[in-house]
Amino acid sequence: MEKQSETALLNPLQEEGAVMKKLDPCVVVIFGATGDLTGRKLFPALYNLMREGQLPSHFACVGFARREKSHDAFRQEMHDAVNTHSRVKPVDENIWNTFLGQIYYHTSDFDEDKGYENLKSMLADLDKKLGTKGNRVFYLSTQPKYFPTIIEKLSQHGLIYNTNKEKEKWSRIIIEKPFGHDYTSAIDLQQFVLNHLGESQIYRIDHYLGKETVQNLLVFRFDNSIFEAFWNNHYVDHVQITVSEEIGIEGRGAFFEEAGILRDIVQNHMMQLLSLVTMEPPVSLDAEAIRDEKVKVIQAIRPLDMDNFAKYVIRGQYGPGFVNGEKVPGYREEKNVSPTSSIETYAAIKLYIDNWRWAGVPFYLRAGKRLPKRATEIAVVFKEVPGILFSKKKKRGENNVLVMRIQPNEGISLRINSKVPGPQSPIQGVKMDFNYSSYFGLSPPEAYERLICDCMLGDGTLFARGDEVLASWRFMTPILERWGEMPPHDFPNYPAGTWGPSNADQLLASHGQQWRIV
Amino acid sequence: MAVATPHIALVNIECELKRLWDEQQGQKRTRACLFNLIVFAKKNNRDAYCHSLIEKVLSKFPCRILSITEDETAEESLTTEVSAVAVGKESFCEVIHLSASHTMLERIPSLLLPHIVPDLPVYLFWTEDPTCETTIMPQLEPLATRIIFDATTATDLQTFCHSLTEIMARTSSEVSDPIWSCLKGWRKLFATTFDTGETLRTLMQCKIMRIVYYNSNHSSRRSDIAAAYFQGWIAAQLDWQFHSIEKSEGHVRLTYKRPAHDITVILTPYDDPLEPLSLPPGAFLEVEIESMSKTSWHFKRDEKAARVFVQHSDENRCDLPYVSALSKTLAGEGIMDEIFYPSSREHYRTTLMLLAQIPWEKS
Repeated sequence: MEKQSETALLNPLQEEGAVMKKLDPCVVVIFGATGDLTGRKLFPALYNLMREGQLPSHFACVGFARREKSHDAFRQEMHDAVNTHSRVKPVDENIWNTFLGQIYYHTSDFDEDKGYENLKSMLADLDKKLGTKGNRVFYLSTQPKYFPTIIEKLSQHGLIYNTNKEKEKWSRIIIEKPFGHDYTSAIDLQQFVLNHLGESQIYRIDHYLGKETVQNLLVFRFDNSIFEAFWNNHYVDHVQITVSEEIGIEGRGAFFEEAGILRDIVQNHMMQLLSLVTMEPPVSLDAEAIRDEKVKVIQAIRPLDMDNFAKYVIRGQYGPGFVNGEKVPGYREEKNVSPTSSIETYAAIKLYIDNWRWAGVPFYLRAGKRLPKRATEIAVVFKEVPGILFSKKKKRGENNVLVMRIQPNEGISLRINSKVPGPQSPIQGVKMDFNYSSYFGLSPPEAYERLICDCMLGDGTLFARGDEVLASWRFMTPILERWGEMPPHDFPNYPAGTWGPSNADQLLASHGQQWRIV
Repeated sequence: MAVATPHIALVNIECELKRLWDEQQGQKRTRACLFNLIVFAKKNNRDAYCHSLIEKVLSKFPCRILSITEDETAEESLTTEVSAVAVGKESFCEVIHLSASHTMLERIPSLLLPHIVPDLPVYLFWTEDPTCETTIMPQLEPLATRIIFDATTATDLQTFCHSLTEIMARTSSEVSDPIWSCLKGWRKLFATTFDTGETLRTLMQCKIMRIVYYNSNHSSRRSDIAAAYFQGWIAAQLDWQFHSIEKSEGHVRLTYKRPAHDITVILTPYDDPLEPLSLPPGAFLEVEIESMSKTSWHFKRDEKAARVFVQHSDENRCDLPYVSALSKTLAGEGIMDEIFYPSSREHYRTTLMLLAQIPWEKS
């Protein structure tokens, strides 16, 4: 008799290798439900999960916000938002009508005890009515300053369960970035949160981790044997990670004046990309195994040489210019931005990872607003061949380059060199290109769909762990402190629609390298 | 006074590209691209020439064309168009056309930068006089793997050459010219003919060099420039020092100095409307070299085939002429040669530096 896997013994109907996701009934409570994120991302995600049958059969969603609103008014707003922002349009009214009965709204201030008591009653009613069994996901889609208040109140009112005592039901909290605004505040917040929840109940969301292309980084690296052999300092000349946005701050002046691009994008999204590209193979695909390796590699980043700061970090702020042919204002002319603001809208960093795999390989990170195009990509630039055979026939900058395009135009390309037909044998770079949409057709699920689903499943793989976030802040905080000590005198220092301040080129020039056109 | 409303008709280039890709995939064509080619021209000046050039390039190689037309007559105008071009049976590529009035030219880079295909060479073909444009050229220059200029656009050859040497000094991009490329055959012929110590010495002792070239159209500067380039190349490589230039009856007479002797170069256009030749304009018909040691070399182009009869004689003997094949560049292929078979940057640079000393238009 053939030996059966352990899982098959438990369920004779489960086929080997089949992924069986079992979602517990639950209620998702969104704090800050009248905010931009709820309509633009969260509700479209929930709708699409519902549409694809990936929500628990017993499910409800409660919007929690300060503004007075009826259930119906909130439902209508969310219907309109989904119709506008869903990746699949228009809204299927049959599906929506089913979903409608699972959407509720609760009005309260974030610090109002009565509001939390009322929420508790409401959730208990939903448990009885919809069978959600006391399981809770609390999504904190508010400004970070409200996180401690909300968590404390949830804990005080028994809405967050102690996992050591409560085994029948669970409660989890999703916290939006940024987690803290520097190393000290991140530690404080972490300690505060851990006073009320276990680490396993905390889901620090970084929506980049929910993107298909980011998840594919692990498959690409660890399920293709050919790449592991040259994924190291013997073959890699340098790596460029770019997060470029053509848009400005889109009316988020108040937020951006507090954050800047380093906190908004570099400390979280880019560090996630960096860790996935550079980590060692995990021992398994368990959440902790993967996150262990990510933390290790972030901890291996060499602290910046603050005596030569300008050789490693460049900042910029966009001035007026043209993007896609349209005239756009400078950052300081944007709404809710100080006309003398010293906030950076561009940052470029050169860093090194001091471990056996990456010793000596420079990593260049750049992120910016109002750059010529929207693009997020990781480019691994390989070393030149020994200049013996074909070097004279080549034009400059024709190393092999492996590019992982995270968004848009998702895909992977590899530039190789080829002989041009003819007797003179000149050499031309050509690209081998894999494009997601050409091969896989339909639009992939949005990041938030995957992440919300994973949280409901209790899978923290695609969420940032506490030590991961702290390690990232430990590296970034000295940059913020140095910038705080030295206000910039040349802002704005790049016109909107260009690739950033000209001195960003100097980060690479000392190695004879240059920024790629993305 | 009423202010004219700017005419801005910008398609969403990214959406258009996606639409074209989907459409072409439906026709089982694959998107292909070997390089980016940015072409700049002024309307009603060189744009028709550019259009035919783009067609020639696309007939051979799939590439992304980013074509910029400046319309000097328009008030305030900025438009974009995107089209797909089939290349062969299986692939296609895209042409993005940007048209702008002079006042809107500054917006062009913002439309162009997002649509350069990454990791492939960028060739910038500037079909106007580079000395006359300062709005977008400085922004496009750093992007280019190679910048291709056309000397026929220059109002003043000396200024043009000087301007190009300045560009070469400040940019790491390669700089070239299709006219220079068209001379490849003759440069190769001379390099192979004078490749021994003995033959090279005779060339170095040259006292007179005559170049007769075909100039079928008196208004065509191309022929004159080709001859100027060729003699300039020889002068630069042999370290001749320019002394003077005279023009009379269409002939150009240049005098160069060497420590031991002077060298006279005579450029003679041939144009007999009654006996037109079946050769492209600018083709060299004859090149004669006489040296101090009474050695002479005579290169005579065969009208009917791409080959040259070469004869060498000195005071003691007269060799039998031999035939040397001349690599042929078809009309419009100069630019493709410059893209894939680039000439030596250093030779072109030294030639330009020498020509920048010569007051061609003022003599």
